[in-house]
Amino acid sequence: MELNIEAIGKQYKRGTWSLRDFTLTLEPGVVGLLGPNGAGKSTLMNIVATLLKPSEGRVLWNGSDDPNALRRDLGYLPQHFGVYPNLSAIEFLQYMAALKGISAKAAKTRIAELLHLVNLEDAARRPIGGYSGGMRQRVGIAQALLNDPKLLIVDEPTVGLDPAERVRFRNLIADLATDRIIILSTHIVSDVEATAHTIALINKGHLLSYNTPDALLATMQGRVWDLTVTRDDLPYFKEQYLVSHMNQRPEGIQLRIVHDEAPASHAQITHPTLEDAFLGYTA
Amino acid sequence: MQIIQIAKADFLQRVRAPSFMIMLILTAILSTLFVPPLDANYAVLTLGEHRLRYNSVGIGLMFAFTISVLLSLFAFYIVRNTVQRDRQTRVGQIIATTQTSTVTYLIGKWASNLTLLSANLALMTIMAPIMQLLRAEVLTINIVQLVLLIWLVGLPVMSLVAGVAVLFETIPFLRGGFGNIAYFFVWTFSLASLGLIGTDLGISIYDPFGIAYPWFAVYAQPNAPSIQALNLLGGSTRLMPVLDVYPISWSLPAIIGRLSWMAAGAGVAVLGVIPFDRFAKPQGRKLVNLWEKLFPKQSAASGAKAFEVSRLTPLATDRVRSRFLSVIIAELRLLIKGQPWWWLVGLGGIVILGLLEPRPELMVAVTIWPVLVWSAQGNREKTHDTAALIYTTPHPVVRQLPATYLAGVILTAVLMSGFMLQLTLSGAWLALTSVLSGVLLIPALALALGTISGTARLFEISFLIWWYIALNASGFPALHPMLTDSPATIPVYLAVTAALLMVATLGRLRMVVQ
Repeated sequence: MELNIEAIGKQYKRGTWSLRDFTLTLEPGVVGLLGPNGAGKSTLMNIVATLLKPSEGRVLWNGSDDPNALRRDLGYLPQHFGVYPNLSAIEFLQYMAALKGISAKAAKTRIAELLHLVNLEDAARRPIGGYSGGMRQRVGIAQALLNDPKLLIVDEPTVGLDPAERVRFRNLIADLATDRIIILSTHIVSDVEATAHTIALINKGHLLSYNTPDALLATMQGRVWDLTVTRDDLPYFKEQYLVSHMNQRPEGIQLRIVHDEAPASHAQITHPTLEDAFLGYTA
Repeated sequence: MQIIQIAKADFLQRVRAPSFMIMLILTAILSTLFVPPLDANYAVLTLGEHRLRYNSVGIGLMFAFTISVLLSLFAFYIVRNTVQRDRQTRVGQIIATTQTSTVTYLIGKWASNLTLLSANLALMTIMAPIMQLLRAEVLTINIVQLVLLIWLVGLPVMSLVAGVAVLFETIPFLRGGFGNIAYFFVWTFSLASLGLIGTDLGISIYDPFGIAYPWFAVYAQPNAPSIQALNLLGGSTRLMPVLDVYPISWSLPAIIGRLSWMAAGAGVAVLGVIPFDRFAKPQGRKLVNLWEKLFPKQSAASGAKAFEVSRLTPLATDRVRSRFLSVIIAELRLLIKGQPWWWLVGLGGIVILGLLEPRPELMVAVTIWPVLVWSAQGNREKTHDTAALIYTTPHPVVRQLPATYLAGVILTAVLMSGFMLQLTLSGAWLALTSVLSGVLLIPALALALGTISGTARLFEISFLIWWYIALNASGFPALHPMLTDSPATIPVYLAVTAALLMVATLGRLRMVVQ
């Protein structure tokens, strides 16, 4: 099982490239796709999910560039998606199961399991039109898992979920990751930190780094500083350095700064986090 | 100031969409048809046996009347959706939390509608003298007459349409496709009440269409024939005697009358204050409330169990393959789901009616019943924003699209089943074949128009016009496959069906990566 993204690029009508020369090979596990807004994450997801044709390059699923071969194994949860409001969750999932070519008998079992998994059993027969944002998101998750996908693409999946649901979703992703490829796109670093085996950092349409979380953090060793400054000095540090975190303290303001050299003589080197790495690479 | 800002934002949003340019291009093309060549076999505006001379007054009258009578129908469908767009994009919810009053909001929307339609009038004002010069019957241009006729007749009509469009969007049951149908009948009855389709014109000051005053002015001319029928789209420019028309003097009461209708348009929009929910109710809420009353919401404790991690039963590979029949059933369910009980009762009634009275006119008449069901085809993925889910399933073109079409055909066949059974029993094979070709054609039309337009409106209005003309043009049975009495027209309808399916396929291919 392998997904090859080979030198893909996407140019829009006005000539701007939202993605350029992007190459990545993915194997089973969770790859976290991290990048700021407008980095090209959604374009990449749409291309891999066969919704968008790349201007250059190609996507190979197990060696084939046939979109339908990939669609057979694909589960996709887009960032924004609609539902048919008059259908209940069961009916909507039955419809999606039919489109995904799942037999009625297999779909029945699968839908029941998934509704239990996403805790929508109680609301399963209500029209989706009246669901809350979080409930709709859970319907989206269920439909993505309907065909037991070998490739699961989830774009900002935890948007609309409450903190408890978010934690459980992370666990679900981790649990599912053993025998499939999962692409998790988000700008919530803690979601990636909790689940990803590898992290692809992307900005301005280019792949900046593709590493395991540990390797990514290693690249930031010695570049993250901790120091406390007075309120008067704060504007200077904010202007001159990349401040990844601020905390109010009785003795002043504690700053976390990403920089190659010590920003002040009293600055202490500290352990980097993924958030530091994200800012260090993309700022 | 707020009104201007609301209207401006809404107007800019619309003019930057490709559909605005398409609308202007269509208007320019139609403008050339409003003034047929001197040797044409049709005339746009006739008085009895006469056509109007192509001077500025004659051409101004042709434009004004066409705007008033025909554009008043299409304008509604062009501007409809301004409030609905705010609902769908949730901008409405943001506006609802500001100090903007509902009246201000609705007038802003009316103003935006009116501005958009005025762009059409402006284009026609440019096209009118161009057409006069092109046809070259009279080369002297009286721009004042042209402008007064187009704007004094046209603008108040557009204002009324803009207001009605806003009002319809504030009334829950008129927001969707039912409103599209309702407006068609409102428009038809409005024209009928004027007597435009007949021979009398009515009283000018009470005439929202604004055509009575200029037309009476023509009647008052010394060279005018004795009172005769006014007709739009009749006769032949080439063969008809020409009537000279003189400049029309607009009296102050006539101008005030037109301005009053203009203000009435804003008034109609403001009436929306009464039914408008100010974006308080999301769509589908009514159903949920009823359900929630019957079955109370789950407790917070059960909600906390969300995403209990467990292993799913793996899906065997042989359980996943192409199942076309399942897709057809799923599409059929999607078509029917959400229809109220009385709609299904009506469907049953039509089946029984078909068994009792298999008359061709009745067959055509009953096809209005599922128009809102057909019109969802081809655009559902866009309307409900499910394209990302549907188009990432295997074979969205060769499997899902034909299944959507066949579901439409099955529904149409059920609708016509009573008629078809009776025709079979009576051995009326030609009539049966005609009905079958209609059963194949109508869903294909819905699918094609839905796919290329991305909305239900294009099919709804096209179908209604076709349906209305077919029922009323008794001398032209070939206008509808279910009316035709000639075996030769059936292959034509089948070819049209095939062409429409091709259009739908190409439209879908454009959206899906191959």
